[in-house]
Amino acid sequence: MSESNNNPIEAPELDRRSFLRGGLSVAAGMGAFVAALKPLADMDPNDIPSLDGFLQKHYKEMDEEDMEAALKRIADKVQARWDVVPNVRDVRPEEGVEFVYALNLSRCVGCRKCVHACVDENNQSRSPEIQYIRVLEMPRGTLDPEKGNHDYDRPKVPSDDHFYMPVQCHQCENPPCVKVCPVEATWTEPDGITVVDYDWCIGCRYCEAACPYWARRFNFTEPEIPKEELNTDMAYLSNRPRPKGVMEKCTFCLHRTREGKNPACLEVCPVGARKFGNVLDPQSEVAQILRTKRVFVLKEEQGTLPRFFYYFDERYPDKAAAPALGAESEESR
Amino acid sequence: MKFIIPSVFLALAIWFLAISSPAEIPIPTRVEFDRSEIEVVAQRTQFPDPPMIRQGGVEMSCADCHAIFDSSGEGNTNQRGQHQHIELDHGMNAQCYNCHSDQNRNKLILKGGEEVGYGQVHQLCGSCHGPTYRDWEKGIHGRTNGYWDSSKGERKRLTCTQCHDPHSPAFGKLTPLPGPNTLRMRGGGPPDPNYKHSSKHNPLILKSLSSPEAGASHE
Amino acid sequence: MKDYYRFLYRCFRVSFVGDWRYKAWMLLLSCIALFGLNAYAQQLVDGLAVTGMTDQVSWGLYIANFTFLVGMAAAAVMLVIPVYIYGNKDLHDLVIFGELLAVAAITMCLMFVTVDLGRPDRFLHLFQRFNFPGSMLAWDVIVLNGYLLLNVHICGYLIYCAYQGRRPTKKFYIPFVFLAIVWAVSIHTVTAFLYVGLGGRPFWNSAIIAPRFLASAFAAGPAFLIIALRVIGTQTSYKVPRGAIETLRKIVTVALAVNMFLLICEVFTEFYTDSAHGASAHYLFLGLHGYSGLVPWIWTAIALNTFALAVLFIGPLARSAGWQNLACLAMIVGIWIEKGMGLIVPAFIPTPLGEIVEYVPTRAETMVCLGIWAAGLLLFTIFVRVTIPVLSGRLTVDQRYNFVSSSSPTK
Repeated sequence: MSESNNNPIEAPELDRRSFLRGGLSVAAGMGAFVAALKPLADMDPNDIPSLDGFLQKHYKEMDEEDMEAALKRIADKVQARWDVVPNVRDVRPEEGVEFVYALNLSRCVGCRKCVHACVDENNQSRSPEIQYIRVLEMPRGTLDPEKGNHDYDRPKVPSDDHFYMPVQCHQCENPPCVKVCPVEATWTEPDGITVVDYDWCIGCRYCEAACPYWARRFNFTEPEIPKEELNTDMAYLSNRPRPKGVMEKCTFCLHRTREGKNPACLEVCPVGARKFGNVLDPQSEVAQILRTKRVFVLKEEQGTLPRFFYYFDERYPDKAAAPALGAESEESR
Repeated sequence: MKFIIPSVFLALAIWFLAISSPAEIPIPTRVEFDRSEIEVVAQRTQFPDPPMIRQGGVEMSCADCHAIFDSSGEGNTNQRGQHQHIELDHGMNAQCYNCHSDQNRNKLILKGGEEVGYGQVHQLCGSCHGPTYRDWEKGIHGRTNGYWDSSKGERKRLTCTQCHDPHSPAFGKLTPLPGPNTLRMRGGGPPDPNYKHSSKHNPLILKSLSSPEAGASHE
Repeated sequence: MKDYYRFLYRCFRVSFVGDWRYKAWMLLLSCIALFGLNAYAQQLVDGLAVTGMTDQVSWGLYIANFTFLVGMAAAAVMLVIPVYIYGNKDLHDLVIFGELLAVAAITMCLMFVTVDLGRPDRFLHLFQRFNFPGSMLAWDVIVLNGYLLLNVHICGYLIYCAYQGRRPTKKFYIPFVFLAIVWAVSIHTVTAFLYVGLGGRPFWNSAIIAPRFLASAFAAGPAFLIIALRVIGTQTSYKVPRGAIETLRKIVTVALAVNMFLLICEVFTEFYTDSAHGASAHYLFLGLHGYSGLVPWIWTAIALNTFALAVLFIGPLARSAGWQNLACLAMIVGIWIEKGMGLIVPAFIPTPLGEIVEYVPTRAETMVCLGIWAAGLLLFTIFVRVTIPVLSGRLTVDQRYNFVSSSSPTK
């Protein structure tokens, strides 16, 4: 209850004692309110956005100067936190390039090297763990990912009774995640890569609910990356360190691929199951795969039109099933 | 009784400031692994052409040695001479001179009797593995390191023997790197221990194929 | 204008006045709200990792409560329609309470959405690049805030007119009342479309969700009002017309029956088809691969709703105030579970890649939810506390309000 004297008609019952009591109640209530906010005292000052950061424009609205300032802010933050100078830049798509990924399910052995090479390249949080690639151990007779085992932990892979299906962002041509974002913080670039502006995302996780491939990840808390494992070759739209509370996803390593290199998951693959390239170039590996192999996409009925294709070679890679010496077909194993 | 409201608020304030402790977030500890596992390397080093080895501090080619030692004969798994360490597991292709030239040990030999250098090993492999060779030529089979865009940097196509051991071409099994261990992933109740990722509904599966390891590690 | 500020000030003053039961109730709600604030402060510092949500189950209690409360807000139309379309006299004066409930419920909804955001500090981005009409969330932002404004206007106008002792001008509120009827249906439909539109979540990707939402909302909302009006009727001097609760009871009975029917339709489709898309329904009702975290929840909900429906169908029981209250309470809880733990969470289990990670709300998350509920009830109590003396003519522009003789608590 506030000042009764200004308004005597309104509070006839307020004598001095009850006014005192009321005032005390309000004061104690305020005190409790402030005390309830105590956890805020532990807030990392780095988490509080600077004024410039707060006013930073959407990626598509930034001019060169804005971008330079934004990149400098990123570099400063990295330097403050890890004490290293990163090479952070904004890599733009090239004209006449549309990226496509193809994965040979006959070859994949399920070693999970791609999973960890990706984490290493893209500065994902090590704890809590964020990984863009999930490798499913699939029983025979199905292509339904829901039948896959995520947790396989056998001493040696591949198992003779399974095949392995890595799943990551399919960079859809008709991406449900982009459609649902309320603030346009995620979009598809002209070269087919769906990106997230980590400085624009409000963290509603609607895109995560919308993705039929479970390809998006949320930073539930501050991501942790050891200094010695930080990849200092960074781009605004891909592997720069993310703040907590925003979405992230596979970007086909756009800081590498837009400069002509292959994605990290491809380079580390010991069996050459992964293929990447510009589908608009008819001589590219992926274009030839799409022409000559029987390819398929995951969950085609979703209408997402993925740019990530799976294919098999002619034979099931099963040594146990191969008849003994003398009956080897033209395919080795 | 008159000061009950302020005292309740005061007690609450004291609780917030002094007593309450923030809930712990059960962040799973990271599963470590050997980081050399994710270095980008070819599986095997390839012989130069002509093939050279260092033996007793001396650099010599295959032919240099074979000029001294006589090694004529069948050349099969039972006659490996100095090459006992070679494990030959290449299907019906079990004769040394199917691939190696018995006239010139620095060369490989094609089906028609034509000799090719070790640098052209893909021609030899391709003479039997036609479809694979066809795929490899297009870049569909095999590994490509470096740049996808050859105008920007070198596109490193690996040749057959950089991945496959020609004497035992099937890949050995690998130890998988750690599986997922994400936030609160193990937070729910324990899963059914009897549950198996079953594929028994698939009529195509032959009983004889199921090896003992099948289903071993399923939760 | 000066009069209006004075009106607001007097309302503010009145909200602090009441007998010990009123004060105890308000104190309790304030304390719970502060606990919630404390938990939210921790969430701001540590991130959403303090909740039970994961990448696998990326929406939880917050969105569940949000969905339920959108329904509570939409339920105001169930008072408005009988009055303004069918000319029901009993409910006429009570419409305002429905609309006040809508205002409180929408406020809670907005709070639940805010606490669910990873970056609430970037809230302004909604005004800078708004993905409308592409994103259903953008639609939801518009319809919810629009509904809030509509109801604030209608309530505010009617109460202020009563305060000034003049008859409200029809053209200033009747068009808005009719707009609010359509709008109320739209808020819950859009909220349903939020989920229904996601092809990657077969559990939600069903056209029946929107009608189910409306049916359950029209059961739970009026059920809450029955209880609230009973409390108002017995604890304050305000006279609740006898026929009003009877009308509400009929609405609740029909809505609950329709809701149960639609649930059965859903269950049949999922289980008789027995396709791979039924995995979430299996998980919810029976458990899947040995995981069964939600099974007790959904069967509790079904038991509560069945009990409520049975009570409402059995004549003698249905007419007894005690049983009626019990049935209303049961169905509010039942529908809350059905729409939250029974609809939002199972869609994430298993994930689109078949992984099963169960969801268990944490203490912090639960405290934030309770805090928001307490704040919302606090708001609703204040609204009712202020409205009753105004409507009954004891707090008007030229009459000083005698606090002592009429210190009439609402709860």
